[in-house]
Amino acid sequence: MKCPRCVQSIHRSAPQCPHCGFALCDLDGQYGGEEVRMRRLSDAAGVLRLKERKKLDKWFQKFEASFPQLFFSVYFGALDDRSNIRQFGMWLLNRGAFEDVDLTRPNDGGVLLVVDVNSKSAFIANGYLLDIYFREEDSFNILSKAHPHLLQGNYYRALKVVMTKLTSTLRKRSRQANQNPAKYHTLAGKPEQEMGDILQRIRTPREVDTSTSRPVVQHQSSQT
Amino acid sequence: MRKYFSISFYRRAAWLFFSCFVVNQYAHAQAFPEWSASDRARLKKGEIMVGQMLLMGTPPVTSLPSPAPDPGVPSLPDEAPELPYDYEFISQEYLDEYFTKVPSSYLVDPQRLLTRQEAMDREGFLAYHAGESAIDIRLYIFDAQQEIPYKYSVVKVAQELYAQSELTAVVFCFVGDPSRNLVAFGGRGAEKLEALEKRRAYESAVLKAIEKSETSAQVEAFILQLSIKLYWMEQAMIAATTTELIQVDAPSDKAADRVGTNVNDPPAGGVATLKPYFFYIAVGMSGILFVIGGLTGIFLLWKRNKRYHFPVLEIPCRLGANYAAGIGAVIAFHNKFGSPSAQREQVPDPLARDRSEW
Repeated sequence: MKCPRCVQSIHRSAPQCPHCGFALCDLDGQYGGEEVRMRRLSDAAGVLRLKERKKLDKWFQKFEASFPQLFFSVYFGALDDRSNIRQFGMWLLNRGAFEDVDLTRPNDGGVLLVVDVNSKSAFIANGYLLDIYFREEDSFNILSKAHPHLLQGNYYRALKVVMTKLTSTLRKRSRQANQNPAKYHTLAGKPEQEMGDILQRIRTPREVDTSTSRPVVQHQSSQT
Repeated sequence: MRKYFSISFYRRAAWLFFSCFVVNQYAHAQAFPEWSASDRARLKKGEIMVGQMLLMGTPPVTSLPSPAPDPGVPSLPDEAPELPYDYEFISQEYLDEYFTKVPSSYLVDPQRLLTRQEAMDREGFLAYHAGESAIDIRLYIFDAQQEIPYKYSVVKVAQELYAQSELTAVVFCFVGDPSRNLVAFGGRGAEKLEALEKRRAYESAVLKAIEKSETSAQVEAFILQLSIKLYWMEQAMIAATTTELIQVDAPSDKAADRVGTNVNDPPAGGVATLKPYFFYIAVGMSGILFVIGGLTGIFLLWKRNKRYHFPVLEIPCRLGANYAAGIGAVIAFHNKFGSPSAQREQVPDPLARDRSEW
């Protein structure tokens, strides 16, 4: 576990970074503390065509069919110089309210890909459900596969590669987790939860307020 | 008086008297030799000497009288001296038996180089082989160092002596040195045998014989392996004959069927043979492909519809985040010449505190 600001290792249950004092509330001060309504595919940078977006929607559905607990989200944006992609991704996965994601899939099971076309960097964040199973090296391997397409500016192709690699990686991790659950229980330090607990962890239904619904980029701009 | 002469006293006296009587009688029976009067006179004259017999040596042995020959029993004739055996040259009398006439048996060993038992064993095997195979084996036995005269050779023997007989393999076997063994084929059909096959059979037999250390075993191994190889040569000849018959018959049949076509066209090979079975082969292959395709489709469908679950674990919240604090990798893609690893960003954000103050 690493701090998104100082990239130092921190404890699994640290309320704030012991090295730099970072906490999510710091980002709330920068980006806003309210929920942000958005869709799984947010192309604030405008790098995808309409046809490509439709195809990506189908891929998202296929991904969610294979992983009933998870969902995949992408944010193409142009962050300003003061924003850090790592911190922004963490904030977005916590404050994002995904309209086209079923409520039975909380943000705990989310995997968010953030691509900053301004600084030309990409980042993957994940929820607590995959905290034990999905490693940082996995995300690096996935982004490395898409690196050539990102270099060429072919974001559609890069996203396709990311989804393919992410699916295969998560399948592998799922098999490993089910074959040797004791190992991951030991890593987590607590016993496995019952299905009833999952429902308790589903976030409370969000009230859709169209007046506050705005893209994240707009939200950023409003903050700035 | 009674007091001093008891009964035991009388008994002892009688026993003593009896003993003296017996000794006296024995002394008279074994009396010492006595000088006769004439001997005593000669002793006095000095003609004889006392103990002369003891001082003289053993008396001379007189020979027994020889028995008279029995005229009814004839005496054995004297054996003729054995001719000296030459290890390198074959005497003339053996040459005639080897090279001038067709032997009556399959084993030719006039020099008796094999023991009687070995000769019977080899002869029995060669007779058995001749009964089972179309190619007979005539085994000529020579000593290891013997030289075949230049006017004789194994090829000459095979071609001249066995020209009118059945197909025969003539073997010159040098007992003790199987590497010198020679094989030649004669008789009807010898010209059809391929030189390569003959050479292989010969080399194989020699190798088998060399593996043995004992001379008799070498001979046995040689003819045994040669017999095996001859069997396969025979089978090859039969197959070749059958093929020739098929090739001879095929043009005539096709010529009758195909009017107007060239009879000299080369006959169709294996494809024509398989032509009637094309339908069944196609059906079989289609079935196999269909099954493989079906199984592959089922597997892909199963894999596509498979659901992957993760065990739900209680992860404590950190950094004040309720849903997600999992930080993955950050990778930059602004440098086309840098590898993904080189562009992996692990640097902290040093200006973050300053920004929060903005």
